[in-house]
Amino acid sequence: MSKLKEIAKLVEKGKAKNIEVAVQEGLDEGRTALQILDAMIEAMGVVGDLFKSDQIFVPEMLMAAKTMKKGVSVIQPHLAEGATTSLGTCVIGTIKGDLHDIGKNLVALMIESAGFKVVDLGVDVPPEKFIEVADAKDDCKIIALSCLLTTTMPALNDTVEKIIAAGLKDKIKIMVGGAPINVQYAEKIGADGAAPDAASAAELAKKLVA
Amino acid sequence: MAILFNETEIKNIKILPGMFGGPDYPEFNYPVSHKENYIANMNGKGHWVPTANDVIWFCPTVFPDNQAKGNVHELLEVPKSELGGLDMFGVEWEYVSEVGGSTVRPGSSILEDANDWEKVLKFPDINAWDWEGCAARNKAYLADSGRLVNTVICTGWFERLVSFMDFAEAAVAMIDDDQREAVIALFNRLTDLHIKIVEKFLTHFPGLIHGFTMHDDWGAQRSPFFSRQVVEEMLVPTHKRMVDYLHNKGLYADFHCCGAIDMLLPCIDEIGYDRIEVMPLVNRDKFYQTYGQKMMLTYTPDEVSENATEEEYRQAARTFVDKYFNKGTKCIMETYYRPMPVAFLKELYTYSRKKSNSF
Repeated sequence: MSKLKEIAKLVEKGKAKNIEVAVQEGLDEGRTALQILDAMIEAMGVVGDLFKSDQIFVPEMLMAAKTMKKGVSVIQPHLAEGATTSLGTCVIGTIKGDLHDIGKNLVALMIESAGFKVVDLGVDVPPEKFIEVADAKDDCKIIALSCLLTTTMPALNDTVEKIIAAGLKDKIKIMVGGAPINVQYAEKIGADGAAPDAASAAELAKKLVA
Repeated sequence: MAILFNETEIKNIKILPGMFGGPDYPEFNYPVSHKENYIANMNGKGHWVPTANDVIWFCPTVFPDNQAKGNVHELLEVPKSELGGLDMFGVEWEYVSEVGGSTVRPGSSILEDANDWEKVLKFPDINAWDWEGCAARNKAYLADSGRLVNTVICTGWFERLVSFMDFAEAAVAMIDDDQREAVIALFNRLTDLHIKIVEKFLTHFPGLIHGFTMHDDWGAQRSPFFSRQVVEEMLVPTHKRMVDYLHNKGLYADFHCCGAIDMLLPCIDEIGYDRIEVMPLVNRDKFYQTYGQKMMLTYTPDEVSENATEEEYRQAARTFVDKYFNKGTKCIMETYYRPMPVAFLKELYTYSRKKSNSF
């Protein structure tokens, strides 16, 4: 098995203990940091597919993402400034009035693993904060808004409206998600998309910036 | 033996305020007590379809988790502004009034590595809780109710782990080879604690409590959190020890589990729970076909359109009875996710009473 395939398999299987050595060996064998990063991103795509088809579950997906993070920490010094495969920055958070973060955290991990830089603003985030942070990032491509409660759906609507009113819609796509949210609701409030789970959210993010 | 339906049962009925902020519900002239009917349902020969209103969910403040999680049901009234706060492990919960429950504010975990649980966690001294005071104010109420009394352990094993570690770290700990043994040991210690709490309830409310509901969410909207294998290895043994203990004490063992957990139902069956509460997204008809004779499910009625007429509600009640209330199967109707109006509940009672005559 080639080293890149081995690295990809370690990510898929969530073997965090072994990834650093394997990635270092890959570098020592002459693989570039970008090749290794691409292999890991591709592996996370496989992980996403396995998750969507209920062949693996949340812990396995989290372990895979954790493994990739450890792998990235090894190649980070070898990635020249500006030479990353980053798809841009995604600013993510749970909207004001909502304290739930499980889904948001999973989406953040999967989006990061898909090749985005992620700025996680946490929970109970006011619209102004999303706008401030996204506006300050030149490469911000996506704002991802999470909402679990039906009672905070109006706040989701309000946040999207304010992002649009701030004039960010031209350069930034808005994704929304959470148990009560579907594509129809996303369209209704002016967002660019919604996804039913973390793996689909990462796919949607890639589509939106393609 | 069936007790024949008598028209006087539905004459001059009282309408009582709903529990948990739910809609009003009718109180009929019952031929047997709610408790007797519940037990009859458990034996597959119910006299009518019981609803969640037919049971007393006894969640007193003496057990600090109840107030922390915004789940207090006893004679002492606790204003909503005082719900939330510290649970029995000193974890702080924030009450969210819109949903009637609490959550631990993200980022406030007290345990980073499950291996450290013995060093980090301070188990409660349950002897120091005011059991006498709780019994003094609630005993008569429970004794006179004629209802089955069910007490809730409202933070179960995985939920407790989440409250200590945050969700992501807790989920990883369930499959991480370096933490799994520690998690199993912690779960066993929690079972020991649950058993001691049950013993306290039985000591202070002798003969008045008939079952306990263990609360442990295993899934999200789309699928379970874990594979069946992880549940088999990490959760089934400790749940089973708890259930076996409850059964040995002559108590019902019930399970509340949120999420799309259909693929974990064999695990719940293996554990031996008597009744389970699930969300409407679980396939109830399939559950009924597979487990309807073995386990009672708190069945949610089918959705009725917003503008339904009274007759449409009555028809929905008859459909419910036809599907789930049959000789040899166990049935109760939940009133939380899809509360039904009095017209539905009247028909549910009347139609199921008449049907039970043939049991």
